[in-house]
Amino acid sequence: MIRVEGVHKSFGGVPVLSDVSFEVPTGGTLALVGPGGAGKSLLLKLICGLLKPDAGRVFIDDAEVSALGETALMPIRGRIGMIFQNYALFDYMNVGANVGFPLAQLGTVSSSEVRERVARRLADVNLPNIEHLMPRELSGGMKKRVCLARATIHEPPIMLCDDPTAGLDPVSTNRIFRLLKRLQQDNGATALIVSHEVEYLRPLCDQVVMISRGRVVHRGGWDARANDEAAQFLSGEGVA
Amino acid sequence: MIALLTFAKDQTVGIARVLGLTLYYIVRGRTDRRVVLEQMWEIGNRSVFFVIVTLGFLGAILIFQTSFQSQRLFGDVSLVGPASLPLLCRQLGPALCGLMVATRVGTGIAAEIGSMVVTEQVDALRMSNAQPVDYLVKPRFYASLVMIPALSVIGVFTAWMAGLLVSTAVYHTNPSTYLNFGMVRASDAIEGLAKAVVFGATIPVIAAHSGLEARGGSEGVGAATTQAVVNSSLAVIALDFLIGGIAFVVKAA
Repeated sequence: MIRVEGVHKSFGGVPVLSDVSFEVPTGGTLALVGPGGAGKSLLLKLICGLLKPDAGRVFIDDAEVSALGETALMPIRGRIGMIFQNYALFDYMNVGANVGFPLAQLGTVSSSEVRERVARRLADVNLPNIEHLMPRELSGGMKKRVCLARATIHEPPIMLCDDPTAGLDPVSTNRIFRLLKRLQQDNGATALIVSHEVEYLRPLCDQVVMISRGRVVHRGGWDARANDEAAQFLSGEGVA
Repeated sequence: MIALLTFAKDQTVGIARVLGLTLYYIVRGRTDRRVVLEQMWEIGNRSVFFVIVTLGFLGAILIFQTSFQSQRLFGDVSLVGPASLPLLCRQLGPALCGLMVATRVGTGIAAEIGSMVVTEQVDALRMSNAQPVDYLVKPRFYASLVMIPALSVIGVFTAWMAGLLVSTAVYHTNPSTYLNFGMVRASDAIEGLAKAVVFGATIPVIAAHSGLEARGGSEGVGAATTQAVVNSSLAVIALDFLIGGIAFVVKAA
């Protein structure tokens, strides 16, 4: 379960998030949508403790993430798989080392098992036998799928996806969302997905939260009230 | 002025925090020897040519100018070689080597870590339970701690030998007169090595701090790199003065 309670965050005195609250139940999937610069990616970083809110609280299950230090956050982060907007693949490691990195860091899995699981996970994302390649040798779509493989290699019960199809063509976008759905269903993970691809999110996510100018303007199902900002955005008309 | 002081205070606090975390992870964290060896190669072996060339030329200039003045004032250059060795060991060798390494290695560390910050690779490390200071700074700290003293020794030797070439070629000094260790003491070597070890600990921490503070995109990485060179160079000069002063007081006592 992920719970965000009255979160505020400012940078240099400029408020970016104001009084944001919502909850994702265990095993639930939530789409976080909104125009660019609304604070969606920032919210994901607050949820996994990479940043601290100025006010408000963030919970993952019973742990108050917003109050924990780096060491105390380690076991919680071990239960999260995160897909970054800009891939965030380690450019000095090959694909195999990248995907196996979260497992290797756990220190409880033998190197031969890491190799086996990496090969299996890369096959799951339709990229078999590319362990030896470096990230610079991959296309954007391949990088996203490697990122997805890395985020799910340790079968995390919580998935945070920051615009997993940003900059991808429609075929790659479709493939990524199908993979996300399959991996989420396989693990029964709680998932929070930031994206602008409303038509792909609709069948994948139970709930939607829309943020605009740092505030929640819609929370709940996909049927937003007519004529409001959320209805416009969710129907693909955009927000002024 | 107040803004400058606030900036200096923030930088000092930030650098102290990175140093503290580095020492914490030296005690608590795991060390991947392979990564340390890779960094030793990167910081040490790949700097050898740069240090040899710069310290070689600086040594040649030092001996040429000192001999020129000595010749003019005393009509004798026989003491230039023996007298320059303590100066090189104690002062110029480690300081110039520190400055050269701050330029080459400091920028490399700041740019590498800075680009990892702006491309979210550092966030990905944290999400994989690898602490950036433990994973990125500690191996560079170990490597620098070993390799900067080694480079300083190479630098002092090269500078003195370059001076020998100039002294024999231009001033026709007898090599056996130049290669006289009579004026150098153990304390000179100890002071020089102490400085090199301190520079070895300081440069990677300062550069890594600048890299970890990078924000934005390539502009932020560029600013972090510049900051790393400025801060490292200032630290080398200030610490050189400080350690030199302490050594003077200890010797006087």
